[in-house]
Amino acid sequence: MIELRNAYKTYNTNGNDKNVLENVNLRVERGEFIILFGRSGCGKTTLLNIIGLIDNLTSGEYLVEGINAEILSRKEAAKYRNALFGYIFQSFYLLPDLSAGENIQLPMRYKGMPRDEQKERTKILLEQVGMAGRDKEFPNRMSGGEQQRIAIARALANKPPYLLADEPTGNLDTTNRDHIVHLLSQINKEQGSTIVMVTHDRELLKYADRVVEM
Amino acid sequence: MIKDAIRYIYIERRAYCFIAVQLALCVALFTYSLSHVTSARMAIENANNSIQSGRVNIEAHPNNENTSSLVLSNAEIHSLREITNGAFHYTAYCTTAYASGDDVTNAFIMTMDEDELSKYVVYVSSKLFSSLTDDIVFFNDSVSVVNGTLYYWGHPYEVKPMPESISGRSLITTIDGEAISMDDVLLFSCFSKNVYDDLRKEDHVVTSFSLDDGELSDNGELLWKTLRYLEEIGDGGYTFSVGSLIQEAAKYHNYSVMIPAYLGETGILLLLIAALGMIGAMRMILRKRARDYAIRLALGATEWELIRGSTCEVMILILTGGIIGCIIGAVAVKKYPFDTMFPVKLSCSVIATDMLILLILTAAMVIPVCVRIMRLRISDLLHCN
Repeated sequence: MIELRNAYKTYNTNGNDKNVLENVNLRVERGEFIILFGRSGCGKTTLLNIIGLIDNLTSGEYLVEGINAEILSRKEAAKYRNALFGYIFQSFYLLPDLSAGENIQLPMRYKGMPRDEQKERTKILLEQVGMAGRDKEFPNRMSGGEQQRIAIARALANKPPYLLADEPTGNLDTTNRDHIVHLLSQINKEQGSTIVMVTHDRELLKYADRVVEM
Repeated sequence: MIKDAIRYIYIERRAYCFIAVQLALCVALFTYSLSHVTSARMAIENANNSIQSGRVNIEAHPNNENTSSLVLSNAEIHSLREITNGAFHYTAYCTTAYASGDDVTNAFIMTMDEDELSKYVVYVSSKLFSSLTDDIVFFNDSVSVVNGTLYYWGHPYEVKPMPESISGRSLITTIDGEAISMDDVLLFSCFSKNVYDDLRKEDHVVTSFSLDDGELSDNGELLWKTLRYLEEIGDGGYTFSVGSLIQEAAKYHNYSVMIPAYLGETGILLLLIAALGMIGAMRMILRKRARDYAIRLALGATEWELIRGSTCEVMILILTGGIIGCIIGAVAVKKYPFDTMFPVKLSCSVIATDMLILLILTAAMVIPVCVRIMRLRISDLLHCN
């Protein structure tokens, strides 16, 4: 379970403090598909970063699986990021110099999984996202939709309980958008992964169990 | 980790090639120069040790020229020894001109440890080889001929007739026939009696003399006697100057140390410039790679893992450039030593200094990388805000 209590996030730009998040209270149960919806600049991505242990709160409390995230060291945060969260970005952020397979294996490598197991799991993940046998291909030879599928496979690599998707369809056409959201929805239903997705696309709200408007 | 490091090196191969070549050249120059500087220091130390033993040098100048060139016969040496109660020493060496062609009649003995001598062969002219008799004149206390065999400090020495193929600079070889540069050794010469007489007339032989100061605690009387005797031998055609090995040490400084020392300073300066260049290039590479690192951190890598990867990358680069540089420097020292009066050798201290510098360079490159990685803000780099 993820829980934010009285969460504040303030950025200091040009000497002025700007509250991006103000007194946010949010609770996400395991297995939910939640969409954070709102206009640009309202703090959706900031909230997702805080949930994914990529950023810290200015004040308030954030509990992930009962652990207070604010007291985690860098090393512990990295460990939890690797084990609990799978991140999907709008711009895919696949490493261009690694093949699709190597990209998928990265989180497993950081977890310390044996190499054979990594390869086995990569195969399964590629099949799951409909990209079987394309592990040797490099991202720059793939379409946007294909790259996002690889990014989803990478996010699922360590079977994380939480998938965090930041505008995952923002750079895709409508066909690919529908495929990707459908895939996420399928993962949510079949594997019971909790999905927290940020979007400003109203068309996607129908997939969510709950919409948090910001 | 190593695979990642090699991959990153491959990606940045142009920048890294440039850095490695720059580093190799600087290390080569530094190794070359430092070898000269340390060898010179060793030569000076040896000279200083001799100074401490207190020898006084006497130089003979024919017709007031600034060279020393008086030839002594065995009988004259014997007389000088008697006059000075055994305190008289002499060395003789000949110029390269004497060491060319088969018509010369001199042999060369190296001044090195007795144990080392067995590793070398001396070639003498066929004329001298056929006349290796007791009637030969040597300009050194320690060389003699008995029944056609050369002895150096009592050790028999292999002597062979000079083959036609050997040039003036290859008169001394190892047993395997490898030529040894004349510049690496101090030479003594010997002549057959008739050639010696001719040479003495023509003032061709360079000699120097010295007196032990143990025998000089007589208000200069011994020195005065020696000089008077030498003037007699010189028959009025010579003047004599009395100096000391301190002046010789100064000569090493002036002619043999300063230039390599400048080279050494230039090497250090170039190394510093290269280091700054490398640090700059590394910063540029890191800036390009910042997003990669942010992605890796978001996927669960720790900062320490990224630092280890970068350190590995820098070490591969520096070791490659550094080792190539050391090899080039070592070859240059062996094959193309600076024209010096002392043997130039690549010593362990030079290698150790190279390694220390490479280590400092690694640290200088890795520390900014560590700082930068520790300061990475994943959310900023992924344009999440």
